[in-house]
Amino acid sequence: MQPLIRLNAKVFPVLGALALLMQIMDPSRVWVILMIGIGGAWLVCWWWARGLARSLTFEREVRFGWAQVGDRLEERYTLTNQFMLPATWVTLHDHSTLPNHHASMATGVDGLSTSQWKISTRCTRRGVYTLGGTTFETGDPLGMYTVLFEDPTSSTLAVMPPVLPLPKFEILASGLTGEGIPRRQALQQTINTSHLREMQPNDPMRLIHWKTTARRASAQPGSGSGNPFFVRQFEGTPAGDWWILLDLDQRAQVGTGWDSTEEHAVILAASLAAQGLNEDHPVGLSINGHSPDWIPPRRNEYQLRSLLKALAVASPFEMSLQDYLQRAGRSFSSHCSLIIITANAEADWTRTLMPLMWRGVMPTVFMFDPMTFGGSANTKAVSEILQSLNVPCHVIPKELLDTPQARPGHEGEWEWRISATGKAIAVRAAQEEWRGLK
Amino acid sequence: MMLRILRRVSSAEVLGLILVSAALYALTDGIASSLRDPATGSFFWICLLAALLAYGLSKRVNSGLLGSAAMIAIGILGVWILAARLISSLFELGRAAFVSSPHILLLVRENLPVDVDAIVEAGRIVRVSSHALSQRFQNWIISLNGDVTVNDALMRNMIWMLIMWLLSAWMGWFAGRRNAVSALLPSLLLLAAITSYSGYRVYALWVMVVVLLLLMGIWNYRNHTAQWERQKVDYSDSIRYDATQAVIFLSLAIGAVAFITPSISWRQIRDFFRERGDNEIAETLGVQRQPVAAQGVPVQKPSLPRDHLLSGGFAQSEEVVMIVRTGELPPLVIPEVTTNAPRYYWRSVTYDTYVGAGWVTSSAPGQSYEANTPLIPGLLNGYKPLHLAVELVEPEGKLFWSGILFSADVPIRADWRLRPQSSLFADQSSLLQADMFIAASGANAYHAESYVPLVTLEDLRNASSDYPQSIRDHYLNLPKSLPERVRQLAGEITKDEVTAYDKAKAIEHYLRTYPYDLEVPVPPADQDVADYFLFDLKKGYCDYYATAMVVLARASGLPARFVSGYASGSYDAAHAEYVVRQMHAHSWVEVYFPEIGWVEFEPTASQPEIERPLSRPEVIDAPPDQTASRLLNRFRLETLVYWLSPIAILFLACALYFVWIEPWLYLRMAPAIAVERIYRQFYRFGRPLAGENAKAETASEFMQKLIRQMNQTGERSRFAGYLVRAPGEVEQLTNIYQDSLFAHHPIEKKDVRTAVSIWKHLRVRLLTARMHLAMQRRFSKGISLRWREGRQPSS
Repeated sequence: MQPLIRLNAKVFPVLGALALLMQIMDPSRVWVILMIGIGGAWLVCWWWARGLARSLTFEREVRFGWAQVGDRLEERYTLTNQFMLPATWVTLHDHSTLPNHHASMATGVDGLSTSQWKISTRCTRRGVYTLGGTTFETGDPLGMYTVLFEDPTSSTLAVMPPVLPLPKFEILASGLTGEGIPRRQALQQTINTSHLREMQPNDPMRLIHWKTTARRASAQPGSGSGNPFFVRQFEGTPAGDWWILLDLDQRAQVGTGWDSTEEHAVILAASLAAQGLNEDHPVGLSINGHSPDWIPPRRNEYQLRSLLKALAVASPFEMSLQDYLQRAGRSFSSHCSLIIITANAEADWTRTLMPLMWRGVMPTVFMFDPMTFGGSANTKAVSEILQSLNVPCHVIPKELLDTPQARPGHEGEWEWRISATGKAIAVRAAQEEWRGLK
Repeated sequence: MMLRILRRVSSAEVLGLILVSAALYALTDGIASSLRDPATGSFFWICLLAALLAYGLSKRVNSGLLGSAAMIAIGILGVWILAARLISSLFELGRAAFVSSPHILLLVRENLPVDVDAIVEAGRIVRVSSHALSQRFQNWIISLNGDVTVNDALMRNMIWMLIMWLLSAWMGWFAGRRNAVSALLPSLLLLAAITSYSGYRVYALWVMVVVLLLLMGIWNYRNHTAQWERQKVDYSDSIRYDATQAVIFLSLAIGAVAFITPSISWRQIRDFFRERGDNEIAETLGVQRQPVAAQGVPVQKPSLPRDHLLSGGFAQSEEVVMIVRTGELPPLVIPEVTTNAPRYYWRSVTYDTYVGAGWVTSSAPGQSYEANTPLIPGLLNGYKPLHLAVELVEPEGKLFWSGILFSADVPIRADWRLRPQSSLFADQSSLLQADMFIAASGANAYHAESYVPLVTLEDLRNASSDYPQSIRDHYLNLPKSLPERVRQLAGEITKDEVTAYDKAKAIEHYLRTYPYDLEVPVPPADQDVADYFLFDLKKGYCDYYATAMVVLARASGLPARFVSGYASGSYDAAHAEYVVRQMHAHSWVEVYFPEIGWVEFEPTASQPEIERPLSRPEVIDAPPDQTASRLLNRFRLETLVYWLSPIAILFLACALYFVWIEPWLYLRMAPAIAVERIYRQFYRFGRPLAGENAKAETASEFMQKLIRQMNQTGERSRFAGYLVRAPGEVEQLTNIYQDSLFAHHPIEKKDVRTAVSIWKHLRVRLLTARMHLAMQRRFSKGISLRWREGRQPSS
């Protein structure tokens, strides 16, 4: 960080030198007053500014490398002055791109001391942003000199879309055993049944747990429940792959900002991905967007972050869902669940589902209701076609995801924990080490 | 309306306007004092009006060109109205128009003749006055092109009024833009140029410089806050506090240094080092200096100072040069009665360096003195005060006096060859060694105080020959080229004499045997003047006699110098005055006697010999010199005040700051910040008393430590009564601070007021305790050292 010292009052050294010259040529109190008053002030200010330029250091630290929409980002600033005189004013200009991150500020720091403060910003918009660089300026109290520091150090911050708890949606399962396609190394069968669940379409008949089915049926006679069968689930049984296809066709999007189908689609995709991974499905992502993203299904601990990162930067593009399915359809593996998230209420794209279904790809469609987002298109026709194809179609109204939980943010907040003895203890959640911008 | 304006104007703006007014006052006062005409009383108000107008314009008008044009137009019109004394006429014209206008409208409607005599008459007066002024202005302009200087006071005032108007408008305009340098720079430069020329009211420039620095600081802060607000940058309130503190202290400190630093020329510095070097380092290292003549001192061509009197009939001219009154004798009603008026020499220049071809002087740095300033810092014992009233027919650019000049009632510039070491106090020996080469002044009439020695032959014979080094350095030098026969002659003349006085007297007697003659040929270029006079010419006029005596005296080991001026002149008893004519131009000799000073000798044969009393009883005791004593005391007091004034200003500024400004600043801050700042100061003051900082020390722990220490200090201190309230105050302040941090309710202004009020007293108590503790430690350290020394076994 090489400081730049800029002289604002250029006339001062000239006047000081002129007064000195005049004092040599024609000694008089007038020149002495000018020489010391003007020249002396210039020298003192120069010394002050130079001292600050050499002794002022600045550090900017952040706790988290990523955040979700609604999280609080905390940044810590440390300004150290090792010069004996104070920096009466220091202006910090922050060049971060994170929305609503007002880190620019003016402060002062005493001589031989340190000033530290924190800036907390709530992340309101998904995306990948830059934190830093920083320009800070200071100077002598008379404003004769300005000392300018440029700190280009910056770091990237990914703000992921929020993940919401979703109601139970029917998602067509696929696969030959259990819930999904068996992996080569995975056990085909196990004697350890982990739990039972309601039978889904395409579940093999042999996994029906007849006793439970019978007991439930007798316990709730005539309940009219649509699905009376329960199937067994085994420990270690691999679940079927989920492919989430996020359609961000620009022409199909309705609404603006937070209230747009685009944002809701991203949140829904993130929530479904989290849900799928929770249910042990390998989840993959395909985005029909500005930068088409293709993340194959995996089930490791980093997958959710990868998916959320991709969703963080997803933005609309002018390619229809029909075209996208035609082009990318054959890349989906056979016998997987394809979850299509779209706002497209036109029926033309439904035709492209047939070839996929023939290959064992089981589509489930999440369609946003354009009317709740201020649009005029009706989803009825598409729903009917999909129903005729035996493809579950969930029409998502705006209200479903427009909840306070969409802004969960808890980082940096106090949390209460109950100790073993029942005592309530205030703790800070998710304390991580501060680290500088790199 | 006023309240709304006041609310919009920030405190920085108000303070800025007050400082601009101060700068305007300094500008007008400085320039008015340097102007010849006293009609400058309205300058300040005119300037203030211009500055306020321009300030208002700068807030409304963006175009500088438009603003300048408006201010120039208003300025010219205003100056014209003032110079032509049109205010009352214009008022009359306006009143007549106002009174007549309803009638005029009625008459015009009814087609009746209109009576506009009153308006026409008022208009005629305005026109005539304007015409007269324009004629006068034209004449003045025409005279500028001619060779004749026209001293028209009105035109001069007009010009100055316009200049001041424009400068003030400039200042006001840039004050509106909060640009201190641009606002004050033209005024500062003009004031510097004027005061450096006139020498009056230099303090005005000092005020301007201090105001400039203060304004720079205040507006720098204000510009930054404006920028932060524009860019929506959050800023801390404490910046205002820190910036104000720094700006005030920086400006006053620089101002104080500028105020107390005297004007020292590079020649003075050079001479100072030369003098020191000559005496100490050069002597130590055995470095010898080139002879003065060889070194050249080429400031002037060597000559016999009165040469010019030989041409053009000066020597016989009875033209009066000056009239000197001493007031020693009253005017006589019967002038025929002869009076024994004292005989004086009216000196102007002394020379110390003989170069064979004539006389030059070694470097004599100049120093300016105000009227009635003592030139020497003390009263001389054994000297007679002389009050001189001198009227020069034609000013010669220098003063004439007798003996040692003490003061003059006109500003002078004294060139000192040897200056008294201090300008306030000096002993007799130092005063006697002081040697002024010349006192320059353009005055043609002045009063001067001087001292003439009251010495007896006994004193002179008893004087020692232990000459001070400075006297040896300057007044015993002779050129190496001086012929040996001159030295031999000096030896021969003085061989039988024991005392310095007798030696000098013997030389004087010897030279007085040479006939006086004005018609002498010019000395050959390659021959020493003294040698030529003593051995070849053997006759001459005063320059030759004086030169020869100085050379012979120096060759005999007597410090001597050549003095030029006028002889006593003819005493006019009727008017009790000395009438000095051109024919009285003269050169004579002075020989230095330790404890007595410079004593005059008259080697010129045409002049009567100087008579001195034999012993002390014959010397009339000089009355105490009230005038000189009064002048000296006043000068010492003024100097003391001058030196102490920065400290007094600083003290006052500190008092003002701590009693008024600091509490005011605290009360303007957010309460929590104010309390935190006060506590931080308190912590800084109290930390040395409370001992070292423990790890993770809380405010309460610090308070307890401090209270314990204060109680202990209080028990042992004579200030116990004063310190007894300190623990309570410490506790109270700590509680307020803790409340500001941890209490459920936000801290309020009244808590800040309480904290400020506590801190005001507690600060002094803590300082007292710290001083007491420091003294106690020093005392106990001294005892411990003495104890250790006492324990050491004696050898």
